[in-house]
Amino acid sequence: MRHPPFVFGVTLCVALTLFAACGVTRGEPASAELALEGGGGRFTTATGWDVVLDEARLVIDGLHVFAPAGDASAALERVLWLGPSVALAHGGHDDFGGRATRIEWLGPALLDLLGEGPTPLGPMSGSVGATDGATLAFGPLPADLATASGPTHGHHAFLRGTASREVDGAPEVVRFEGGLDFTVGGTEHLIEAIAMTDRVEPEGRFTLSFELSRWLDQARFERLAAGDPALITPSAQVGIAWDLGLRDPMGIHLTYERGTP
Amino acid sequence: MNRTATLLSITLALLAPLASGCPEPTGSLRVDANGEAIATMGLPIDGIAFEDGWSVSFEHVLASVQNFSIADGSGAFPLEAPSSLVDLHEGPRTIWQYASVPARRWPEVGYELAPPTAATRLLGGVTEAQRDAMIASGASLHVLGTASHPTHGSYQIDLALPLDVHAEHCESGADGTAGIVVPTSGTRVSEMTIHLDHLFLQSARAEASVLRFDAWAAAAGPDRVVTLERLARQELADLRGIDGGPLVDAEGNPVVYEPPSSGLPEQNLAALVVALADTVGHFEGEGHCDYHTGEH
Repeated sequence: MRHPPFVFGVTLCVALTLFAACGVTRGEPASAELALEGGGGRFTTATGWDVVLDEARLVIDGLHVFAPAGDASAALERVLWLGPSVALAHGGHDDFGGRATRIEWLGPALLDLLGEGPTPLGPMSGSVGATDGATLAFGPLPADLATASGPTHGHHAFLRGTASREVDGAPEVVRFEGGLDFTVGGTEHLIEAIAMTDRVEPEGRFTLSFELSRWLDQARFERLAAGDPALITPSAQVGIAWDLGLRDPMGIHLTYERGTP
Repeated sequence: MNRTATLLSITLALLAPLASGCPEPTGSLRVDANGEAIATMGLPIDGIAFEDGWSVSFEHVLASVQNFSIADGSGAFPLEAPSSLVDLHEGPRTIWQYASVPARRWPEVGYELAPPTAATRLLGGVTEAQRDAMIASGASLHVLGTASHPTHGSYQIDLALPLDVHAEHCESGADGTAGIVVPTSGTRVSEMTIHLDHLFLQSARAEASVLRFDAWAAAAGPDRVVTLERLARQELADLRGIDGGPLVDAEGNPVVYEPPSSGLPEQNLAALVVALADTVGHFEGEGHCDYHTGEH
């Protein structure tokens, strides 16, 4: 009581701070389940090859669905971190250009893209509200996957299959396999601008699927170096075409259904 | 002492609202456009060079800019920033000037690259014919120049880029802070800095990328003129070299162009160059902005 004006001032500041913090509405927590929808391993490419995939695997690190720019509730949670959080997938480096995450799934996980039916990938957490796009992130491979004997042979993506066509009545068949890798740096490890505008509700379910035909649509299998199977390398035309197709956000589909997962 | 302190607190409390009613000090703001030495002297320059041995000089670098804006938490300060067309090859040029801008930090700075209209101001030596050509092509950045190579000879560049970019949340390249500070009774000279080297980058997503021109030259027709339409002939999955074979580097390895992580509408070199050009607009040198496209 020796310094009543000081005490009053401090009290006033605390009261004003609390008022300011409580005077706005924080985003309502939301949860969802993420599932993978597999399939689509038979297709014809724009280059005239009929492709049948026997293996198509991908190791992803995270799926981040964003709030629209300027969304107050999601942005506020980033700052205040009150209660159930909108998790932030990054530390000092801001991969996402300061965008507020609406809801996200954190991996890593190995995806079998030819699996039958929806495959559960796990829970997502975030907040209720509008969305504006999603980003798929790739990270360093876990030790059990970073080995040549692993299911992706030490790559982020692995394909094995057969491409066939007829040229002047003569059949051509190319059995192929190979892997692709995402390096970390810049935005090399991200696939951004995946379409998503649905409103996230307190409970729901996201389904992720990959348009595998897009991956190899521009592949010219006739240029693969001979081998059985012929090996897809990053510098081969098929490898370059695959990389372009895999990274094309228009070939990744994300849907949302509200309700109990 | 308690009474003195109480009186002081009351006095300060009374003075605070009065202070807010005082006229706010102001300063001036000047906004320039600058294509840096690349626009005036070409490439290579200052250690920025083509990996495949080309050099480029520009005859015109026509940039159509508009809607420079500043804002803070209380909102945007009203600035008139009419559409203006400038030739960056002529060197830095002042585009807009403002007196009596409240002297403080304006953390939000933005501007737009958008195609000119009949009402667009022509600055410096820009002609009505140049403006009309850009209106007809829908270009907001029109780059004309010559690329030369000791082995491959010369090619003309006539690149009309239909950009529609809103650069916002610009950070100052001068000090790395968000936006600008307008000084009391002084002038803040700000600059929309156009980085032309971006057009020739091999990767739109790597932290560092080399510049290349072989793929551009290979897309030119027999008249050796490179246009955006001709760059669309170069499929990224099957890039061709000048000799018609697969595009390779000096060691014979395939050259791979990398689209941005947000993808491209089409997988060809023209779409990639447009995506690269979307990010040419910087602020006060190396300062970055957030880029939003296709909003007009």
